[in-house]
Amino acid sequence: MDLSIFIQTVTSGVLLGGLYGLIALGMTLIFGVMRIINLAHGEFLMIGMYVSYILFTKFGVDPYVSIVVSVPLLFVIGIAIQRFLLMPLIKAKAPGENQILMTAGIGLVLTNAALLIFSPNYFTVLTTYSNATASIGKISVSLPLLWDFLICFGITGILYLFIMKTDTGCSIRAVAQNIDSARLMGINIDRIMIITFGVGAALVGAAGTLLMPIFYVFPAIGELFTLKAFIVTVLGGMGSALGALVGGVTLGVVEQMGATYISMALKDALGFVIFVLVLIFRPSGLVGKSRF
Amino acid sequence: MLSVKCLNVFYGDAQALWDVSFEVPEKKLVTIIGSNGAGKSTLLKAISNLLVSRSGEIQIQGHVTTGLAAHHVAELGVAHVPEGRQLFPLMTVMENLRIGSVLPEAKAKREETLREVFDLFPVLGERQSQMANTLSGGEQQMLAIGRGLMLRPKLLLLDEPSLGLAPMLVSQIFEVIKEINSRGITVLLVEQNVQRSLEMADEGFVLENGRITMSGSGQELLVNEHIKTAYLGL
Ligand SMILES: Nc1ncnc2c1ncn2[C@@H]1O[C@H](COP(=O)(O)OP(=O)(O)OP(=O)(O)O)[C@@H](O)[C@H]1O
Ligand SMILES: [Mg+2]
Repeated sequence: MDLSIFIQTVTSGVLLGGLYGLIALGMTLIFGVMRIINLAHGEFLMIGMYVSYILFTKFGVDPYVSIVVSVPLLFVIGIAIQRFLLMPLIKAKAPGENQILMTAGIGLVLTNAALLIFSPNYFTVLTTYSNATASIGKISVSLPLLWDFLICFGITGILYLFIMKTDTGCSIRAVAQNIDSARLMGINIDRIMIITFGVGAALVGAAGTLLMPIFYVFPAIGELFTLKAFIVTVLGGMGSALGALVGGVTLGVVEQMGATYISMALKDALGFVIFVLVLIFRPSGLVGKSRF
Repeated sequence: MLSVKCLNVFYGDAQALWDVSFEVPEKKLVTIIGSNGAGKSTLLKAISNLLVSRSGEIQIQGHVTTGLAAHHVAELGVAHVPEGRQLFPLMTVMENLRIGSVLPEAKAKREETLREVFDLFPVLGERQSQMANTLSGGEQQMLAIGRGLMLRPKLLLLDEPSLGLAPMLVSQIFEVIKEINSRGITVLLVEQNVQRSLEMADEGFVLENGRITMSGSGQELLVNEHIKTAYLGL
Protein backbone atom coordinates (compact mmCIF):
# COMPACT_ATOMS: atom_id res chain seq x y z
CA MET A 1 0.00 0.00 0.00
CA ASP A 2 1.38 3.36 -1.00
CA LEU A 3 1.67 5.48 2.10
CA SER A 4 1.40 8.80 0.34
CA ILE A 5 -1.89 7.79 -1.29
CA PHE A 6 -3.17 6.79 2.10
CA ILE A 7 -2.16 10.09 3.69
CA GLN A 8 -3.61 11.94 0.72
CA THR A 9 -6.89 10.11 1.13
CA VAL A 10 -7.14 10.72 4.85
CA THR A 11 -6.22 14.38 4.44
CA SER A 12 -8.88 15.09 1.88
CA GLY A 13 -11.32 13.04 3.95
CA VAL A 14 -10.66 15.15 7.02
CA LEU A 15 -10.93 18.40 5.09
CA LEU A 16 -14.18 17.37 3.42
CA GLY A 17 -15.33 16.08 6.81
CA GLY A 18 -14.96 19.54 8.32
CA LEU A 19 -17.50 20.78 5.82
CA TYR A 20 -19.80 17.82 6.54
CA GLY A 21 -19.47 18.73 10.18
CA LEU A 22 -20.55 22.30 9.53
CA ILE A 23 -23.49 21.09 7.44
CA ALA A 24 -24.63 18.85 10.28
CA LEU A 25 -23.96 21.39 13.03
CA GLY A 26 -27.19 23.25 12.33
CA MET A 27 -29.20 20.05 12.15
CA THR A 28 -27.84 18.77 15.44
CA LEU A 29 -28.43 22.14 17.13
CA ILE A 30 -32.04 22.19 15.95
CA PHE A 31 -32.51 18.58 17.01
CA GLY A 32 -31.07 19.27 20.44
CA VAL A 33 -33.53 22.04 21.18
CA MET A 34 -36.63 21.11 19.17
CA ARG A 35 -36.29 17.31 19.10
CA ILE A 36 -37.10 17.28 15.40
CA ILE A 37 -35.00 16.48 12.34
CA ASN A 38 -35.14 19.35 9.90
CA LEU A 39 -35.75 17.67 6.56
CA ALA A 40 -35.37 20.97 4.72
CA HIS A 41 -31.77 21.18 5.87
CA GLY A 42 -30.23 20.27 2.52
CA GLU A 43 -32.49 22.80 0.83
CA PHE A 44 -31.16 25.52 3.13
CA LEU A 45 -27.71 24.48 1.94
CA MET A 46 -28.96 24.76 -1.63
CA ILE A 47 -30.12 28.33 -0.98
CA GLY A 48 -26.66 29.19 0.36
CA MET A 49 -25.15 27.75 -2.82
CA TYR A 50 -27.47 29.60 -5.18
CA VAL A 51 -26.82 32.83 -3.29
CA SER A 52 -23.10 32.45 -3.97
CA TYR A 53 -23.78 31.48 -7.52
CA ILE A 54 -25.98 34.49 -8.26
CA LEU A 55 -23.72 36.97 -6.51
CA PHE A 56 -20.75 35.58 -8.42
CA THR A 57 -22.27 35.44 -11.89
CA LYS A 58 -24.36 38.63 -11.69
CA PHE A 59 -22.14 40.85 -9.57
CA GLY A 60 -18.75 39.20 -9.66
CA VAL A 61 -18.71 38.74 -5.88
CA ASP A 62 -16.14 36.23 -4.69
CA PRO A 63 -17.94 33.11 -3.38
CA TYR A 64 -16.18 33.42 -0.04
CA VAL A 65 -17.36 36.99 0.37
CA SER A 66 -20.95 36.02 -0.35
CA ILE A 67 -21.06 34.35 3.07
CA VAL A 68 -21.92 37.78 4.49
CA VAL A 69 -25.16 37.60 2.49
CA SER A 70 -26.03 33.91 2.76
CA VAL A 71 -25.65 33.72 6.53
CA PRO A 72 -28.01 36.60 7.44
CA LEU A 73 -30.45 35.55 4.71
CA LEU A 74 -30.68 31.98 5.96
CA PHE A 75 -30.92 33.25 9.53
CA VAL A 76 -33.99 35.28 8.58
CA ILE A 77 -35.48 32.40 6.60
CA GLY A 78 -34.93 30.06 9.55
CA ILE A 79 -36.54 32.50 11.95
CA ALA A 80 -39.54 32.97 9.69
CA ILE A 81 -40.03 29.23 9.22
CA GLN A 82 -39.95 28.54 12.94
CA ARG A 83 -42.16 31.50 13.77
CA PHE A 84 -44.81 31.13 11.08
CA LEU A 85 -44.76 27.47 10.04
CA LEU A 86 -43.49 25.36 12.92
CA MET A 87 -44.58 27.33 15.98
CA PRO A 88 -48.29 27.10 15.10
CA LEU A 89 -47.91 23.30 15.10
CA ILE A 90 -46.24 23.38 18.51
CA LYS A 91 -48.97 25.68 19.85
CA ALA A 92 -51.62 23.31 18.52
CA LYS A 93 -49.84 20.56 20.48
CA ALA A 94 -49.40 18.58 17.28
CA PRO A 95 -47.01 15.63 17.63
CA GLY A 96 -43.36 16.13 16.60
CA GLU A 97 -43.92 14.08 13.45
CA ASN A 98 -46.14 16.86 12.10
CA GLN A 99 -43.30 19.33 12.44
CA ILE A 100 -40.95 16.95 10.63
CA LEU A 101 -43.51 16.56 7.84
CA MET A 102 -43.75 20.33 7.67
CA THR A 103 -39.98 20.63 7.18
CA ALA A 104 -40.18 17.96 4.48
CA GLY A 105 -42.88 20.03 2.78
CA ILE A 106 -40.80 23.18 3.05
CA GLY A 107 -37.92 21.28 1.43
CA LEU A 108 -40.13 20.20 -1.47
CA VAL A 109 -41.37 23.74 -2.02
CA LEU A 110 -37.81 25.10 -2.00
CA THR A 111 -36.59 22.42 -4.42
CA ASN A 112 -39.38 23.14 -6.85
CA ALA A 113 -38.96 26.87 -6.54
CA ALA A 114 -35.29 26.39 -7.44
CA LEU A 115 -36.32 24.25 -10.39
CA LEU A 116 -38.61 27.00 -11.60
CA ILE A 117 -36.07 29.78 -11.15
CA PHE A 118 -32.82 28.09 -12.09
CA SER A 119 -33.85 25.17 -14.37
CA PRO A 120 -32.63 21.67 -13.55
CA ASN A 121 -29.13 22.47 -14.82
CA TYR A 122 -25.95 22.09 -12.82
CA PHE A 123 -24.03 25.30 -12.11
CA THR A 124 -20.55 25.90 -10.81
CA VAL A 125 -18.56 29.01 -10.11
CA LEU A 126 -15.19 29.14 -11.78
CA THR A 127 -12.74 31.34 -9.92
CA THR A 128 -9.04 31.81 -10.40
CA TYR A 129 -8.41 29.55 -7.44
CA SER A 130 -10.98 26.88 -8.20
CA ASN A 131 -8.39 24.36 -9.22
CA ALA A 132 -5.52 25.65 -7.12
CA THR A 133 -3.82 23.15 -4.88
CA ALA A 134 -1.43 23.32 -1.98
CA SER A 135 1.16 20.59 -1.79
CA ILE A 136 3.49 19.31 0.86
CA GLY A 137 5.75 16.63 -0.56
CA LYS A 138 3.62 14.18 -2.50
CA ILE A 139 0.40 15.25 -0.79
CA SER A 140 -1.65 17.88 -2.53
CA VAL A 141 -4.95 19.27 -1.44
CA SER A 142 -7.44 21.55 -3.12
CA LEU A 143 -6.83 25.05 -1.87
CA PRO A 144 -10.53 26.03 -1.62
CA LEU A 145 -11.16 22.82 0.32
CA LEU A 146 -8.40 23.74 2.74
CA TRP A 147 -9.85 27.22 3.18
CA ASP A 148 -13.29 25.71 3.68
CA PHE A 149 -11.91 23.53 6.42
CA LEU A 150 -10.27 26.44 8.19
CA ILE A 151 -13.37 28.63 7.90
CA CYS A 152 -15.49 25.75 9.22
CA PHE A 153 -13.26 25.70 12.26
CA GLY A 154 -13.57 29.44 12.64
CA ILE A 155 -17.37 29.28 12.43
CA THR A 156 -17.47 26.41 14.91
CA GLY A 157 -15.30 28.48 17.24
CA ILE A 158 -17.71 31.40 17.02
CA LEU A 159 -20.63 29.06 17.65
CA TYR A 160 -18.78 27.65 20.65
CA LEU A 161 -18.34 31.09 22.16
CA PHE A 162 -21.98 31.94 21.49
CA ILE A 163 -23.38 28.72 22.94
CA MET A 164 -21.05 28.51 25.93
CA LYS A 165 -20.48 32.10 26.94
CA THR A 166 -23.56 34.20 26.22
CA ASP A 167 -26.82 34.15 28.15
CA THR A 168 -28.74 33.38 24.97
CA GLY A 169 -26.38 30.50 24.22
CA CYS A 170 -26.74 29.18 27.78
CA SER A 171 -30.51 29.45 27.39
CA ILE A 172 -30.31 27.35 24.22
CA ARG A 173 -28.41 24.67 26.11
CA ALA A 174 -30.83 24.92 29.01
CA VAL A 175 -33.82 24.30 26.74
CA ALA A 176 -32.03 21.34 25.17
CA GLN A 177 -31.17 19.82 28.56
CA ASN A 178 -34.38 20.36 30.50
CA ILE A 179 -37.15 22.33 28.85
CA ASP A 180 -39.41 22.65 31.92
CA SER A 181 -36.57 23.87 34.11
CA ALA A 182 -35.67 26.35 31.39
CA ARG A 183 -39.23 27.69 31.56
CA LEU A 184 -38.93 28.07 35.33
CA MET A 185 -35.80 30.16 34.88
CA GLY A 186 -37.91 32.67 32.99
CA ILE A 187 -36.59 31.65 29.59
CA ASN A 188 -38.97 32.36 26.74
CA ILE A 189 -38.95 28.95 25.05
CA ASP A 190 -40.59 30.19 21.86
CA ARG A 191 -37.96 32.85 21.43
CA ILE A 192 -35.12 30.39 22.01
CA MET A 193 -36.58 27.97 19.47
CA ILE A 194 -36.89 30.74 16.90
CA ILE A 195 -33.29 31.82 17.46
CA THR A 196 -32.08 28.23 17.36
CA PHE A 197 -33.80 27.51 14.07
CA GLY A 198 -32.36 30.73 12.67
CA VAL A 199 -28.84 29.89 13.82
CA GLY A 200 -29.17 26.32 12.54
CA ALA A 201 -30.25 27.57 9.12
CA ALA A 202 -27.51 30.23 9.08
CA LEU A 203 -24.86 27.59 9.80
CA VAL A 204 -25.91 25.38 6.92
CA GLY A 205 -26.25 28.49 4.72
CA ALA A 206 -22.60 29.23 5.45
CA ALA A 207 -21.77 25.63 4.59
CA GLY A 208 -23.59 25.99 1.26
CA THR A 209 -21.58 29.03 0.39
CA LEU A 210 -18.35 27.27 1.32
CA LEU A 211 -19.36 24.25 -0.74
CA MET A 212 -19.96 26.30 -3.89
CA PRO A 213 -16.31 26.76 -4.96
CA ILE A 214 -15.66 23.00 -4.85
CA PHE A 215 -18.99 21.56 -5.94
CA TYR A 216 -21.92 22.30 -8.22
CA VAL A 217 -25.47 23.27 -7.44
CA PHE A 218 -28.74 21.94 -8.85
CA PRO A 219 -32.30 22.02 -7.51
CA ALA A 220 -32.38 18.48 -6.15
CA ILE A 221 -29.08 18.74 -4.32
CA GLY A 222 -30.89 19.21 -1.02
CA GLU A 223 -31.93 15.62 -0.39
CA LEU A 224 -28.38 14.39 -0.84
CA PHE A 225 -27.12 16.71 1.86
CA THR A 226 -30.10 16.33 4.18
CA LEU A 227 -29.20 12.65 4.18
CA LYS A 228 -25.51 13.31 4.80
CA ALA A 229 -26.32 15.76 7.57
CA PHE A 230 -28.62 13.18 9.13
CA ILE A 231 -25.94 10.48 9.00
CA VAL A 232 -23.42 12.84 10.57
CA THR A 233 -25.91 13.94 13.23
CA VAL A 234 -26.58 10.35 14.23
CA LEU A 235 -22.88 9.42 14.09
CA GLY A 236 -22.14 12.29 16.43
CA GLY A 237 -24.88 11.47 18.90
CA MET A 238 -27.93 13.59 18.05
CA GLY A 239 -27.64 17.02 19.59
CA SER A 240 -23.94 17.29 20.29
CA ALA A 241 -22.06 19.96 18.33
CA LEU A 242 -18.74 18.32 19.06
CA GLY A 243 -20.29 15.07 17.88
CA ALA A 244 -21.29 16.68 14.59
CA LEU A 245 -17.67 17.60 13.92
CA VAL A 246 -16.37 14.15 14.87
CA GLY A 247 -19.16 12.53 12.83
CA GLY A 248 -18.44 14.81 9.88
CA VAL A 249 -14.76 13.97 9.82
CA THR A 250 -15.56 10.27 10.23
CA LEU A 251 -17.93 10.34 7.28
CA GLY A 252 -15.48 12.36 5.17
CA VAL A 253 -12.62 9.95 5.80
CA VAL A 254 -14.76 6.86 5.28
CA GLU A 255 -16.09 8.20 1.99
CA GLN A 256 -12.66 9.11 0.69
CA MET A 257 -11.20 5.77 1.73
CA GLY A 258 -14.06 4.04 -0.02
CA ALA A 259 -13.54 6.09 -3.16
CA THR A 260 -9.78 5.43 -3.21
CA TYR A 261 -9.61 1.81 -2.18
CA ILE A 262 -12.94 0.27 -3.14
CA SER A 263 -14.78 2.16 -5.81
CA MET A 264 -15.98 5.67 -6.46
CA ALA A 265 -19.50 4.34 -6.91
CA LEU A 266 -19.53 2.72 -3.47
CA LYS A 267 -18.39 5.74 -1.49
CA ASP A 268 -21.86 6.83 -0.46
CA ALA A 269 -22.89 3.28 0.39
CA LEU A 270 -19.91 3.05 2.73
CA GLY A 271 -21.25 6.04 4.62
CA PHE A 272 -24.39 4.01 5.34
CA VAL A 273 -22.37 1.02 6.46
CA ILE A 274 -20.64 3.15 9.09
CA PHE A 275 -24.00 4.66 10.00
CA VAL A 276 -25.50 1.23 10.64
CA LEU A 277 -22.44 0.01 12.52
CA VAL A 278 -22.51 3.00 14.83
CA LEU A 279 -26.23 2.54 15.43
CA ILE A 280 -25.63 -1.09 16.37
CA PHE A 281 -22.50 -0.73 18.47
CA ARG A 282 -22.66 2.82 19.78
CA PRO A 283 -26.30 3.89 19.62
CA SER A 284 -25.54 7.03 21.62
CA GLY A 285 -23.14 8.15 18.89
CA LEU A 286 -19.39 8.49 18.68
CA VAL A 287 -19.26 11.30 21.20
CA GLY A 288 -22.46 10.79 23.18
CA LYS A 289 -23.58 13.50 25.54
CA SER A 290 -21.22 16.44 25.54
CA ARG A 291 -21.31 19.94 26.93
CA PHE A 292 -21.00 21.55 23.53
CA MET B 1 -48.81 37.44 47.74
CA LEU B 2 -50.31 34.31 46.24
CA SER B 3 -53.97 33.55 46.04
CA VAL B 4 -55.41 30.41 44.49
CA LYS B 5 -59.13 30.19 43.90
CA CYS B 6 -61.15 27.12 42.95
CA LEU B 7 -58.34 25.59 40.96
CA ASN B 8 -59.10 22.49 38.91
CA VAL B 9 -56.26 20.72 37.11
CA PHE B 10 -56.48 17.67 34.87
CA TYR B 11 -54.05 15.23 33.28
CA GLY B 12 -56.02 14.32 30.20
CA ASP B 13 -59.34 13.14 31.63
CA ALA B 14 -58.00 12.46 35.09
CA GLN B 15 -58.60 15.25 37.55
CA ALA B 16 -55.64 15.85 39.87
CA LEU B 17 -56.80 18.97 41.75
CA TRP B 18 -60.36 19.71 42.84
CA ASP B 19 -61.48 23.22 43.70
CA VAL B 20 -58.26 24.06 45.48
CA SER B 21 -58.31 27.44 47.20
CA PHE B 22 -55.80 28.94 49.58
CA GLU B 23 -53.71 32.04 50.19
CA VAL B 24 -50.09 32.65 50.98
CA PRO B 25 -49.59 36.00 52.71
CA GLU B 26 -46.56 38.16 52.03
CA LYS B 27 -43.30 37.15 53.77
CA LYS B 28 -44.87 34.08 55.38
CA LEU B 29 -43.74 30.50 55.23
CA VAL B 30 -46.63 28.28 54.26
CA THR B 31 -46.45 24.54 53.90
CA ILE B 32 -48.57 22.03 52.04
CA ILE B 33 -48.53 18.51 53.33
CA GLY B 34 -50.05 15.44 51.81
CA SER B 35 -49.24 11.84 51.02
CA ASN B 36 -47.80 10.49 47.78
CA GLY B 37 -49.97 11.29 44.83
CA ALA B 38 -52.07 13.85 46.71
CA GLY B 39 -51.33 16.47 44.05
CA LYS B 40 -48.70 18.62 45.75
CA SER B 41 -46.32 18.76 42.82
CA THR B 42 -49.25 19.28 40.50
CA LEU B 43 -50.30 22.28 42.55
CA LEU B 44 -46.84 23.87 42.40
CA LYS B 45 -46.64 23.24 38.67
CA ALA B 46 -50.02 24.86 38.21
CA ILE B 47 -48.85 27.92 40.17
CA SER B 48 -45.72 28.29 38.04
CA ASN B 49 -47.81 27.57 34.93
CA LEU B 50 -45.86 24.52 33.84
CA LEU B 51 -49.34 23.02 33.84
CA VAL B 52 -52.40 24.67 32.39
CA SER B 53 -55.32 24.75 34.80
CA ARG B 54 -58.76 23.81 33.50
CA SER B 55 -60.54 26.38 35.66
CA GLY B 56 -60.01 28.64 38.63
CA GLU B 57 -57.81 31.63 39.14
CA ILE B 58 -54.31 32.22 40.42
CA GLN B 59 -53.14 35.68 41.47
CA ILE B 60 -49.59 36.61 42.28
CA GLN B 61 -49.15 40.04 43.85
CA GLY B 62 -52.47 41.05 42.42
CA HIS B 63 -51.64 39.89 38.87
CA VAL B 64 -53.86 37.19 37.45
CA THR B 65 -51.39 34.63 36.11
CA THR B 66 -53.78 31.96 34.94
CA GLY B 67 -53.12 31.40 31.26
CA LEU B 68 -49.77 33.18 31.14
CA ALA B 69 -46.70 31.44 29.73
CA ALA B 70 -44.49 29.99 32.46
CA HIS B 71 -41.67 32.47 31.84
CA HIS B 72 -44.02 35.38 32.56
CA VAL B 73 -44.74 33.90 35.98
CA ALA B 74 -40.99 33.75 36.63
CA GLU B 75 -40.82 37.40 35.60
CA LEU B 76 -43.23 38.20 38.42
CA GLY B 77 -40.62 36.91 40.85
CA VAL B 78 -41.72 33.32 41.32
CA ALA B 79 -38.94 30.73 41.57
CA HIS B 80 -40.02 27.10 41.53
CA VAL B 81 -37.48 24.57 42.81
CA PRO B 82 -38.96 21.40 41.37
CA GLU B 83 -39.14 17.93 42.85
CA GLY B 84 -36.13 15.86 41.84
CA ARG B 85 -33.92 18.93 41.36
CA GLN B 86 -34.24 19.06 37.56
CA LEU B 87 -30.84 20.67 37.10
CA PHE B 88 -29.20 21.23 33.74
CA PRO B 89 -27.06 18.09 33.86
CA LEU B 90 -24.40 19.02 31.31
CA MET B 91 -23.76 22.43 32.78
CA THR B 92 -21.39 23.34 35.56
CA VAL B 93 -22.55 24.54 38.96
CA MET B 94 -21.69 28.08 37.92
CA GLU B 95 -23.63 27.82 34.67
CA ASN B 96 -26.67 26.45 36.45
CA LEU B 97 -26.58 29.43 38.79
CA ARG B 98 -26.01 31.83 35.95
CA ILE B 99 -28.96 30.50 34.00
CA GLY B 100 -31.08 31.10 37.09
CA SER B 101 -30.45 34.81 36.63
CA VAL B 102 -31.10 35.45 32.95
CA LEU B 103 -34.06 37.72 33.58
CA PRO B 104 -33.00 41.39 33.40
CA GLU B 105 -33.63 42.30 37.04
CA ALA B 106 -31.82 39.23 38.33
CA LYS B 107 -29.02 39.67 35.84
CA ALA B 108 -28.29 43.18 37.05
CA LYS B 109 -27.60 41.77 40.53
CA ARG B 110 -26.00 38.51 39.44
CA GLU B 111 -22.66 38.97 41.23
CA GLU B 112 -24.30 40.08 44.44
CA THR B 113 -26.77 37.18 44.46
CA LEU B 114 -23.97 34.73 43.66
CA ARG B 115 -22.15 35.84 46.80
CA GLU B 116 -25.29 35.38 48.86
CA VAL B 117 -25.85 31.90 47.45
CA PHE B 118 -22.24 30.90 48.13
CA ASP B 119 -22.67 32.22 51.67
CA LEU B 120 -25.69 29.99 52.19
CA PHE B 121 -24.10 27.01 50.45
CA PRO B 122 -20.30 27.26 50.65
CA VAL B 123 -19.98 23.88 48.95
CA LEU B 124 -21.39 25.37 45.74
CA GLY B 125 -18.64 27.95 45.76
CA GLU B 126 -16.04 25.23 46.10
CA ARG B 127 -17.51 23.23 43.26
CA GLN B 128 -18.24 26.02 40.79
CA SER B 129 -16.80 24.29 37.77
CA GLN B 130 -18.06 20.80 38.53
CA MET B 131 -20.73 19.37 36.25
CA ALA B 132 -24.18 19.25 37.81
CA ASN B 133 -24.67 15.58 36.94
CA THR B 134 -21.60 14.61 38.97
CA LEU B 135 -22.76 16.32 42.20
CA SER B 136 -23.99 14.27 45.14
CA GLY B 137 -27.71 14.28 45.83
CA GLY B 138 -27.33 16.80 48.64
CA GLU B 139 -25.18 19.10 46.55
CA GLN B 140 -27.67 18.86 43.73
CA GLN B 141 -30.46 19.91 46.06
CA MET B 142 -28.44 22.89 47.26
CA LEU B 143 -27.73 23.82 43.68
CA ALA B 144 -31.43 23.55 42.81
CA ILE B 145 -32.31 25.91 45.66
CA GLY B 146 -29.37 28.19 44.83
CA ARG B 147 -30.47 28.34 41.21
CA GLY B 148 -33.94 29.33 42.35
CA LEU B 149 -32.53 32.08 44.56
CA MET B 150 -30.53 33.50 41.65
CA LEU B 151 -33.84 34.77 40.27
CA ARG B 152 -34.10 36.98 43.37
CA PRO B 153 -37.61 35.65 43.90
CA LYS B 154 -40.36 37.25 45.92
CA LEU B 155 -42.11 33.89 46.13
CA LEU B 156 -40.15 30.65 46.40
CA LEU B 157 -41.91 27.36 45.66
CA LEU B 158 -40.03 24.40 47.13
CA ASP B 159 -41.05 20.87 46.17
CA GLU B 160 -39.74 18.31 48.67
CA PRO B 161 -36.30 19.85 49.15
CA SER B 162 -35.34 17.28 51.81
CA LEU B 163 -36.20 14.25 49.69
CA GLY B 164 -33.52 11.58 49.84
CA LEU B 165 -31.12 13.53 52.03
CA ALA B 166 -29.28 12.31 55.13
CA PRO B 167 -30.67 13.68 58.46
CA MET B 168 -27.74 16.08 58.89
CA LEU B 169 -28.39 17.60 55.50
CA VAL B 170 -32.13 17.72 56.11
CA SER B 171 -31.51 19.92 59.14
CA GLN B 172 -29.18 22.12 57.14
CA ILE B 173 -31.71 22.52 54.33
CA PHE B 174 -34.47 23.44 56.78
CA GLU B 175 -32.18 25.99 58.44
CA VAL B 176 -31.50 27.53 55.07
CA ILE B 177 -35.20 27.68 54.23
CA LYS B 178 -35.87 29.48 57.51
CA GLU B 179 -33.02 31.87 56.76
CA ILE B 180 -34.34 32.56 53.25
CA ASN B 181 -37.78 33.27 54.65
CA SER B 182 -36.36 35.59 57.29
CA ARG B 183 -34.81 37.66 54.48
CA GLY B 184 -38.31 38.52 53.35
CA ILE B 185 -38.90 35.91 50.68
CA THR B 186 -42.33 34.31 50.84
CA VAL B 187 -41.99 30.53 50.85
CA LEU B 188 -44.48 27.87 49.82
CA LEU B 189 -43.00 24.57 50.97
CA VAL B 190 -44.18 21.12 49.97
CA GLU B 191 -42.76 18.44 52.26
CA GLN B 192 -43.04 14.82 53.30
CA ASN B 193 -41.14 15.75 56.43
CA VAL B 194 -44.36 16.87 58.07
CA GLN B 195 -43.03 17.35 61.57
CA ARG B 196 -40.26 19.73 60.62
CA SER B 197 -42.18 21.69 58.07
CA LEU B 198 -45.14 22.26 60.38
CA GLU B 199 -42.83 23.32 63.21
CA MET B 200 -41.35 25.94 60.96
CA ALA B 201 -44.43 27.06 59.03
CA ASP B 202 -46.66 30.02 59.80
CA GLU B 203 -49.51 28.20 58.17
CA GLY B 204 -50.20 24.78 56.74
CA PHE B 205 -52.66 23.17 54.36
CA VAL B 206 -53.39 19.50 54.03
CA LEU B 207 -53.92 18.18 50.53
CA GLU B 208 -55.66 14.82 50.21
CA ASN B 209 -56.64 13.25 46.91
CA GLY B 210 -56.41 16.57 45.16
CA ARG B 211 -58.52 18.48 47.69
CA ILE B 212 -57.57 20.77 50.53
CA THR B 213 -59.04 19.07 53.57
CA MET B 214 -57.58 21.01 56.45
CA SER B 215 -55.76 24.19 57.25
CA GLY B 216 -54.41 26.02 60.25
CA SER B 217 -51.28 27.40 61.82
CA GLY B 218 -48.31 25.07 61.97
CA GLN B 219 -48.78 24.57 65.71
CA GLU B 220 -52.50 23.80 65.38
CA LEU B 221 -51.89 21.16 62.76
CA LEU B 222 -49.07 19.59 64.75
CA VAL B 223 -51.41 18.78 67.60
CA ASN B 224 -54.33 17.76 65.41
CA GLU B 225 -55.34 14.10 65.96
CA HIS B 226 -55.86 13.33 62.28
CA ILE B 227 -52.49 14.79 61.35
CA LYS B 228 -50.84 12.91 64.19
CA THR B 229 -52.14 9.54 63.07
CA ALA B 230 -52.07 10.03 59.30
CA TYR B 231 -48.85 11.99 58.82
CA LEU B 232 -46.76 11.87 61.96
CA GLY B 233 -47.21 8.18 62.70
CA LEU B 234 -47.95 8.90 66.35
N1 LIG C 1 -47.87 13.74 33.85
C1 LIG C 1 -48.89 13.11 34.45
N2 LIG C 1 -49.81 12.45 33.72
C2 LIG C 1 -50.85 11.83 34.32
N3 LIG C 1 -51.05 11.81 35.63
C3 LIG C 1 -50.17 12.45 36.41
C4 LIG C 1 -49.04 13.13 35.86
N4 LIG C 1 -48.34 13.67 36.86
C5 LIG C 1 -48.99 13.35 38.00
N5 LIG C 1 -50.09 12.62 37.73
C6 LIG C 1 -51.05 12.10 38.70
O1 LIG C 1 -51.56 13.18 39.43
C7 LIG C 1 -51.68 12.84 40.82
C8 LIG C 1 -50.91 13.84 41.67
O2 LIG C 1 -49.53 13.74 41.38
P1 LIG C 1 -48.45 14.67 42.06
O3 LIG C 1 -47.16 14.40 41.39
O4 LIG C 1 -48.94 16.03 42.04
O5 LIG C 1 -48.43 14.09 43.54
P2 LIG C 1 -47.55 14.55 44.77
O6 LIG C 1 -48.48 14.95 45.83
O7 LIG C 1 -46.52 15.50 44.34
O8 LIG C 1 -46.87 13.16 45.16
P3 LIG C 1 -45.40 12.86 45.71
O9 LIG C 1 -45.41 13.15 47.16
O10 LIG C 1 -45.22 11.39 45.47
O11 LIG C 1 -44.46 13.70 44.94
C9 LIG C 1 -51.16 11.42 40.94
O12 LIG C 1 -52.27 10.56 40.97
C10 LIG C 1 -50.36 11.20 39.70
O13 LIG C 1 -50.40 9.86 39.29
MG1 LIG D 1 -44.53 15.50 44.24
